[in-house]
Amino acid sequence: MSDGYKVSYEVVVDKVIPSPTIFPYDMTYSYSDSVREYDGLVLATVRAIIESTKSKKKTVKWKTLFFVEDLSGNETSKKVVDLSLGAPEVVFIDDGGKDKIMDMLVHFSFSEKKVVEIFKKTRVKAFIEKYGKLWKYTYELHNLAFHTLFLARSFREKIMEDFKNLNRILKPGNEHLREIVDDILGILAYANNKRPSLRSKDRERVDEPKSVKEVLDEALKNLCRGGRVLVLIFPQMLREEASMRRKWQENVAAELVKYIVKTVSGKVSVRVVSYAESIEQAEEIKNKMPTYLEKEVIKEVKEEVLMKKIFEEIRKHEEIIIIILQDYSKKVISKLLDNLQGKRAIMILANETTYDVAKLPLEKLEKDRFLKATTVWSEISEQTLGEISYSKILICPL
Amino acid sequence: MPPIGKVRKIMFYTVFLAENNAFNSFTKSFISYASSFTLKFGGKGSQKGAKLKIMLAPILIENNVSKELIIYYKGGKEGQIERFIDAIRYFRFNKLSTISDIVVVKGIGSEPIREAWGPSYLKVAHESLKKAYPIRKAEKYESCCEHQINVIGGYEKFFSLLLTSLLAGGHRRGIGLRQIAAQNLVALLLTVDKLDEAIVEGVVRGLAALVADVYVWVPKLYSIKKGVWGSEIHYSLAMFGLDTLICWIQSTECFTDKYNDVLLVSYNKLKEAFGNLPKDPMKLAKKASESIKECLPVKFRSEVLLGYYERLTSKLEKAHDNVDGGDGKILLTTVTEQSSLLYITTLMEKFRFKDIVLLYTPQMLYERLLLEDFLEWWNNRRNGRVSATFIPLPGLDAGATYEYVEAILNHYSDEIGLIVAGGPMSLVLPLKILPKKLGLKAPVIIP
Repeated sequence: MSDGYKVSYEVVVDKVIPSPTIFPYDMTYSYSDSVREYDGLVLATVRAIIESTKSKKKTVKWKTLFFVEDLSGNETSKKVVDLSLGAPEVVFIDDGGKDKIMDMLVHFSFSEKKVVEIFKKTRVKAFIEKYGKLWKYTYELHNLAFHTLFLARSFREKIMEDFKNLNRILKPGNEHLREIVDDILGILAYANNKRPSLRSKDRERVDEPKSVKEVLDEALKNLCRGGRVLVLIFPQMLREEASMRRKWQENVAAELVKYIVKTVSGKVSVRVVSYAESIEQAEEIKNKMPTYLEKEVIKEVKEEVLMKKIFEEIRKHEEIIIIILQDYSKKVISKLLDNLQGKRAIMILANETTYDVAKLPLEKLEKDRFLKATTVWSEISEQTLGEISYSKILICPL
Repeated sequence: MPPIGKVRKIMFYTVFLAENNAFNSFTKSFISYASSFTLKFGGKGSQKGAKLKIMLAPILIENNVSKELIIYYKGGKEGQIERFIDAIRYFRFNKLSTISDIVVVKGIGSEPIREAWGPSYLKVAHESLKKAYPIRKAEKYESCCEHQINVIGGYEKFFSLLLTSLLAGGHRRGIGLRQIAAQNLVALLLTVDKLDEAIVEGVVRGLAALVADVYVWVPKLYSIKKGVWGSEIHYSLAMFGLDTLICWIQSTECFTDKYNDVLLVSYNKLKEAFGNLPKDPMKLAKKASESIKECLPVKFRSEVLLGYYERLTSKLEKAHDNVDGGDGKILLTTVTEQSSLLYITTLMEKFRFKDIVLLYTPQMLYERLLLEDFLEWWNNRRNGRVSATFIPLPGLDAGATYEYVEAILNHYSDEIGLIVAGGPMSLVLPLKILPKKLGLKAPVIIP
């Protein structure tokens, strides 16, 4: 301290978010793979202790966050991806026996060993369990928050305000929704070096979400009273012949209809509604339906004639189930919803892309340390309906 | 007809000219938009004597389409133009930026490159030697045809967005950006009480550049790079007739001639249409859209750049009587790929709303930030007339979206005067279904 100052740093890891995965927000519909998956996002408090020969010891505290990448193999190429993304700081840990950090945060100067120690200490079961539950409800808002970390500070602060707007609206009774937003506000507070909101504490009050099967069973039970059931299927029009996306539509429609037929007591008829150019595609979906079902394609190019045909079918049935696969003409769906003629009905909307938590046993997760976010629906069956969270699909009585 | 350079060479260059103080604001907002808001440049103060000239033209090299970007500069604060040039190069490789890597940055500076020991020039020389970026003299390009767009002081944002959209690829967001840029240019005309010729000229030239880009360059790109377009672009962006357009461009011998023709014809048509400007935004957009359709080789059911806006406004006309936009009422709507300043201000002004709540999904992060940027500009000009609240929601997890929308509708309840629901089905459906269930009186419009 002969020159006057000595600064030492302490870091306390407040939270580790396992496996933050960045899905490019503008490519969701056409290419849903992630652009980068980190091993962890660390939220930390840094204390700088300044000792001087001339004045009293001072302590300065601030919040910070950084991504962590634990190198398990030849993964140094990830560094290049981070550079091209303009990523926030990433700590690369190479713990192949030496606990040596490949890359170090420039604005910290605490010891490499210390970082590894504190990081390892906080890799606890609780974080994995917590995010496992939260992300089963929805991962998208966290994805937005992680993206926000790449933005310039003033824009990042705007997004933080947006989450505050959402937080103000959520009332008791929506605990799982509030928990997600609270957690995100906590992350953004660290990113913007602001005090986390009072509500952003770790509370273990979120239950496992219900499955699609549970919610669908309940909706069908309330809907069906033994009358004739009409299932109207509205597939998104896809131009690519024999594409994976068409196959997805065929499988989801077939599996949902199979499950409906098995669950309801009344006679089920299926109509695949083809508008404009989707005739061939609608035929493919119809052909995927069980052979014993009464099924047809309603095809029409003119909207008024199409609507007339749909309404004729509705008149003949007591119970209506509308299934939309990803997207359809909003004009047609809007008219349909306005003219259900007092029939009991439910709406099902299945999106092609959604992110889910990998189904790995906890022990394996702990060994591999982190969760994975993936796309779902690649294969659907009665079993997967029982595993996928209800929040991934809209099932709504009308 | 736009002024043509001394000799017609190969192609029209769309030229952005920003001088003096416009230089600073133009480059700053461009950096934010082109970087997808990952960068924000600071810096204030006068830029007297500064001149930035950006030349942009499509090029075809060995049957591969690209765009050539040539940057000239003079004066300006030390380091500012270097940052600008560096940023553009960086955007080409940044996965988060909308800027296409088919943009070729070719020229640096019209001034001679000084000695390497001059600190501000060290980087240019260094890069030129190491990476072989060609540094060419300005005289080489002086004989080409120029479609010059003057960046007007006070309106720099509009031109920054225009340049960003012209540099974007043919991806979904790129097309959406071109639509927003076109609609915002039309909105620009509505913000000035007394139109001066320079503003109309800037808007007409900007729209003509977009028309040539969307109807010639983009189809050419699609015809060569198969797989970059598909159902999503075809159906979500109102590009009805895209197949025909691609066939037309494939059968065209000289793509550059077609580009030049469409640029010139659309410029003349738009100039004619804007000779006598209606002050009503809907009529104005309709007039522009019809003029664009007239100069195209293919019949379109819906014009790409302004068609979405037209469809929306035709529905608004019908809903007019049921809408309560009085004091204390809010407009609830969604941010979509086409949410422009024109779209929002039309809604607000037509129904006299002061408060607007905008729901957006993570897929619309860019559009949300862009919209607020323009709304802030609008408020500065109109003394804070629009109060916007943005709320993020999931879009892919349809069940979760439904729950969040329910909470939002319950919160605002009868304060809502009108709901305009566009965007993904997972957002449109709850906004259509829930108001009735919750007993809300606000009408719901689905554009």
